[in-house]
This record gives sequence, C-alpha cells and structure tokens, in this order.
Amino acid sequence: MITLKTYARKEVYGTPSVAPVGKKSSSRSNKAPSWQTKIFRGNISLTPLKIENTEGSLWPVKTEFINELHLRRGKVDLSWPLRVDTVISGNYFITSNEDLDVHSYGGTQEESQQNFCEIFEEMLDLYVGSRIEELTGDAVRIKALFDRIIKQ
Amino acid sequence: MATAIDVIKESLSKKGFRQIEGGNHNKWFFYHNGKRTCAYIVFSRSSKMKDFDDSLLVAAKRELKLKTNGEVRDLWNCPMSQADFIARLKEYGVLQANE
Repeated sequence: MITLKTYARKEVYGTPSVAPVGKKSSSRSNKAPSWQTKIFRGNISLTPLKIENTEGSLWPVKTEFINELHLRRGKVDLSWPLRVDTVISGNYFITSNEDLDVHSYGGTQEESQQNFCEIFEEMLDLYVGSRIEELTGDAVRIKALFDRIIKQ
Repeated sequence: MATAIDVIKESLSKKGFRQIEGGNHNKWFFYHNGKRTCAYIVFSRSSKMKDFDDSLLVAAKRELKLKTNGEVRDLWNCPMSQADFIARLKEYGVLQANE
C-alpha cells in the first residue's frame, strides 16, 4: 500500500525562547500573542491555495507538507518537506507539487495521492538516471532537485 | 467534453513528443534538439481511461508548460504546430533562446 504521510506541524502556545524584535519576552498571558503562529495538528489545511482560477472551477481541498513517502521501494525520508496541493477539478482530484513538477489525478483523493506517489517514483528514477547532457535547462534544474530529495 | 487519448498521443508523437517506457503511467516528454525538456504529460495505463476529460486540462497545461486550456487543446487538436509550441516554451521561459 502506497500512502502519503503528512508532516504534522506541532507548535505550542506559550512564551517563545526568543522574542521577536520589539517584543518583551516577559509579557506572559493566556492568549497567544498576535504575532505567534497558530497551532495546527494533523492532516489539515495549512495555507490557502493560490491556484489560477480563470478557467474551470478549482476547489482547493488541502495543502500538506510531507517529509516521507511510501514508495514501491519502501519508505523514504525526504531531505526537505514537500508541499503537496490537492484540488478538485470537475469529477477529479488533482494532486501536485510545483517544485518537482509532479502532477497526478484520480477519481478519489486517495487514488490521486497514490498516483502521485507512483508518478513521483517514476520521475525520480527517470531524472536521477538521466545525464545532464541529455536535458534542457529547466529539466536540469528539476534533476538537481530529484538528485537531492531523498535523504541518504 | 473529452478527447480520445489515442488521438492526443498520435498528435503529440507528430510534434516532437516521445513516450518514455516503464512504470504504471504513460509519460510523454517533449524533445527539442535531441534533448529532453521538462514539458510532458502523463496518461494513466488504466484501460478504463480512454478519454481525457476537459476538467483535467488544468493539470495538463502545467505539465505541458502552457498557460491556458485553449493552448493545450490547440496542441493536440493540431492548430499549434511543433514550431509554435517551441515558440511558446521560449516565450514562457521554459526553453532558452539558444536551446
């Protein structure tokens, strides 16, 4: 079973170890300071999506930051959290990461995410196995990212 | 609306796209001057999927590095030639002028 594991952000209200410039670290209160990041736990939307909405109707479902992927070769840890956006377009769920230029779709969210993992792995093998001389500029940039995305 | 995937593949093959073998998904990459570009499109190998639904154009245009759904339709319905497609990729900064 190929699954996406989410990178759960875990932040705790309270006095920060380092106060931002202009704020006194000694000012304690039950209410979180306005400058502090809100708490999020689990698989929920972290940021609003900025998807081009001029053609068709795109409905944002969620944005995840993942730090590991379960591929056919097994679980792999990623060198940096990967932003994965899921939107609904018509009858399909579309899952994508813009940096690595990986896009997938499916009739359900799970199918779309499973396809994302499969296409990610196929693109990983393709780019890592390619020589720079075989690629144009933008493809070289993507290869450089794929070469480093899997934590050794 | 939908377009038959076989029709799309036939059109792409005439315009410099080549299929990359292997894996569960049909990956078609655009080649320019013998080099593989990052413009591509993926089709499911599922036998159930014979047509490409218009609601997936939003994903297709990102993969193909085009800006509008109309450009994607033009690419596989023929009005956009291979030369036109290369010109778009250069205009959008996907290909450099000297590539």
